[in-house]
Amino acid sequence: MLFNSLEFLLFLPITFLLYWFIAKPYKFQNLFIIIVSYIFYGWWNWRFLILIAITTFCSYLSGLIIEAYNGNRRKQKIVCMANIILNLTILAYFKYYNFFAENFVFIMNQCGWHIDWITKDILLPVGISFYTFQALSYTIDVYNRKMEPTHDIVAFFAFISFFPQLVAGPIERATHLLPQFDCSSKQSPPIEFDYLKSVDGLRQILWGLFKKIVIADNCSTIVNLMFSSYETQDGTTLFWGAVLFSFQIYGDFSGYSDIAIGTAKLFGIDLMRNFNFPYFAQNIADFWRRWHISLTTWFRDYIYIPLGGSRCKKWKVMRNTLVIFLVSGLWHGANWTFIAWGAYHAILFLPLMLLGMNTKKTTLIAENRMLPSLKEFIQMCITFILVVIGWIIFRAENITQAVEYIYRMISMFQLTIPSHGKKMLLFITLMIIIEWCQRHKQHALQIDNIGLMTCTPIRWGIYLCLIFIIIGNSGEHSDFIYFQF
Amino acid sequence: MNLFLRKCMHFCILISCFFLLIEVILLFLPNDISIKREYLENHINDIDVLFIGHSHVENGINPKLISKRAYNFGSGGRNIKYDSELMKRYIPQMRNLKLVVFPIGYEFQYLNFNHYCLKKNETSDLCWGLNSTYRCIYMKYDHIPYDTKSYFYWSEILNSKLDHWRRFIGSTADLPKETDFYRGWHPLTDKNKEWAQQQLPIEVNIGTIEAEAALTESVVCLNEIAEVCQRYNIHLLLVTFPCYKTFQEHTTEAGMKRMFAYVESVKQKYPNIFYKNYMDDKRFIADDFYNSSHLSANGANKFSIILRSEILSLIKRNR
Repeated sequence: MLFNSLEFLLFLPITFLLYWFIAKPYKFQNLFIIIVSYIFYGWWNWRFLILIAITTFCSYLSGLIIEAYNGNRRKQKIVCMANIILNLTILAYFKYYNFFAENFVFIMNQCGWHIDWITKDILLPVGISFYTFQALSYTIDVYNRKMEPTHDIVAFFAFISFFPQLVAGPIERATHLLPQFDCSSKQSPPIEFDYLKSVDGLRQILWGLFKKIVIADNCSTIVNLMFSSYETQDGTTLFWGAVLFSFQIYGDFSGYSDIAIGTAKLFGIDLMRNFNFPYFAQNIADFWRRWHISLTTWFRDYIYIPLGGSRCKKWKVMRNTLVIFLVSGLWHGANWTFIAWGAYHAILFLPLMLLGMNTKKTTLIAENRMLPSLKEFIQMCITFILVVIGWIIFRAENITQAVEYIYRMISMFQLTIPSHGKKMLLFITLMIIIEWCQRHKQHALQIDNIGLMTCTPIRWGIYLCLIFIIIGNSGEHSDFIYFQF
Repeated sequence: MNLFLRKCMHFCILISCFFLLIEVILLFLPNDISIKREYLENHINDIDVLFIGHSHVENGINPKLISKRAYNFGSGGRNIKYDSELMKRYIPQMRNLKLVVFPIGYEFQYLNFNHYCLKKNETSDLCWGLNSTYRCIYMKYDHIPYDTKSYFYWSEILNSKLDHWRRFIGSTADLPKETDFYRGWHPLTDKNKEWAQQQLPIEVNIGTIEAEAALTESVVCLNEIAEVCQRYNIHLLLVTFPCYKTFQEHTTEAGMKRMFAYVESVKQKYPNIFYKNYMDDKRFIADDFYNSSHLSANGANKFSIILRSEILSLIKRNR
């Protein structure tokens, strides 16, 4: 079920009312969450529910076994590793089997052996990378004694399958989300309805829909045209196409995250922040602190730090960084373009790290000022252009197309006005202005304490205008890009 | 919670009023469909050659290259049932009409009004039928209350599934001028890389109840069009449009035979019907196609010139 569909428009209020009025006793609320989450996922393909159930049950069981082997670190490690291997095998089979098989077939063909039969027609389960990583975080945290394993199987199933973030994140940590479901946990009180949180959730959903339907979907039509006919377009048009893709992927994914976080708020659940206005970043390291935060921090905590992090020799730190970026690229999909995209960002990131500049720029940009300084502005523009070039590699169907696109974009560049997508400039500018003004907030529609916005009719007028823009300018109805990851 | 629900309810009422207002405004906003219909009504006594049908016609015929008074009344996604209703309404009023041109291709077997699943074991999403957006827009803007559940398809906002509504706002400004210039023709340009694999025909499991029902529905409508043309002494030219080789590769011999058999049976019944098949016309090259079944602007011009001599001879015959 898509967030931007009529089905979800009916699903959400019905689920909300049943959750707070019918499933009120605490235990039933979690059970109810599981049922509606499985309906939500099964709407796409019910057969893959079994995969989620297997992943969830095995991770739950591994937590209990690790607890049972308390004192025997070796056995705990075996259980932890077994669960990691099981989950990664499922992920590898469904997501990467054909990628590796095709490359293997290619190498074998070069040697004269024809083994085409090893490739299979495998359907990729939506959101498999997201819930697998979430399940892994639990096992690893329990093994690392960062948290106690839960005995509440219903709470654990609710934690993995919680529908707002099931298919495209944010990738939650067990330490953060599980206690919110676990009634036996002492860390978190039972979920109670919170008026302000729910209102804020609705606002965040609205802003997410704006980004997805108006920005991403409208950009996608032009971007598809640019990337499918790049051989005939001039450099300016290709650059504009790449810029539009940058906003498409941002609108698409951050829009999804906003809707997910907002929806979770309606159910009294807090999800972690996934985007922090990434296109206002002043360098690549800053960009990665703002883009897909839940994945970046996941890799930091479960791969980068176990590898030694930054507290080891310089070459090892560089190796660790390179590994993180390459794995991050591979996580996005089984294609060399994603790996190249990861490598490209690693190349941009490593010099900053060597110069010790990767931890700077952590404060809010242009703090206490309306506009950025010239230096900040130039840094933002340079970072944005570098990111845009990265997105070309990401979006291209293969490395050759990416190289040809970039080459043509640079060699044929001339200052002309692109013929496509002028209307989009208006909407993108609107989004940038609003997000710039709200850059110190969790999301752009937290407007209830700003000057005239404290007046309810004015605020409601703004919501209505946004709804009008969303409906009147909706682009081609498309799936969320990150569903495929 | 009560405060939250109360405020939500107030906002929902506000949105409902707002949407109702938009629906009413939309009724009075010109759009592709209403402009085409109004053009036809305003020139009802001028038109001598009328092209009707779906997007193959709308995109594939440049009426200016055929005659000074030809008009392309084709419209994307318009079902034969609607064409039949429109013909029954307008032909009696068109005093100078000599010829009606109607497309008849492989899709004649499956572009049906109801949701018939023509392929075994398909989910309902893949069943072919007229989607709610088209039901809504043709009902409202061509004034065809054909649907038994017309109230269900009335709302444009609901039936456009939040993604087709744009067309009613986005493309209205230039339409009146465009209609006069192109006379109903919507040329297609800027095709993409995968064009040859787009708009391919679907597989039809001939012999199934659904497939027969779908074809019967089309045949009944075609008979209705032929009937009204005959009554008013107007020739009806059925044309199979040129298709790219990828489209032809996806058709089946049995399917083609079935289509030709029905055309032949209608021709036998009505002497005013003529048929021309350009499906495999070798004069059309890759550049002439926008996708596997639609002609590009160049292709449409070429096809219109080819069709011109055929049409002129039929008009002469009808004098």
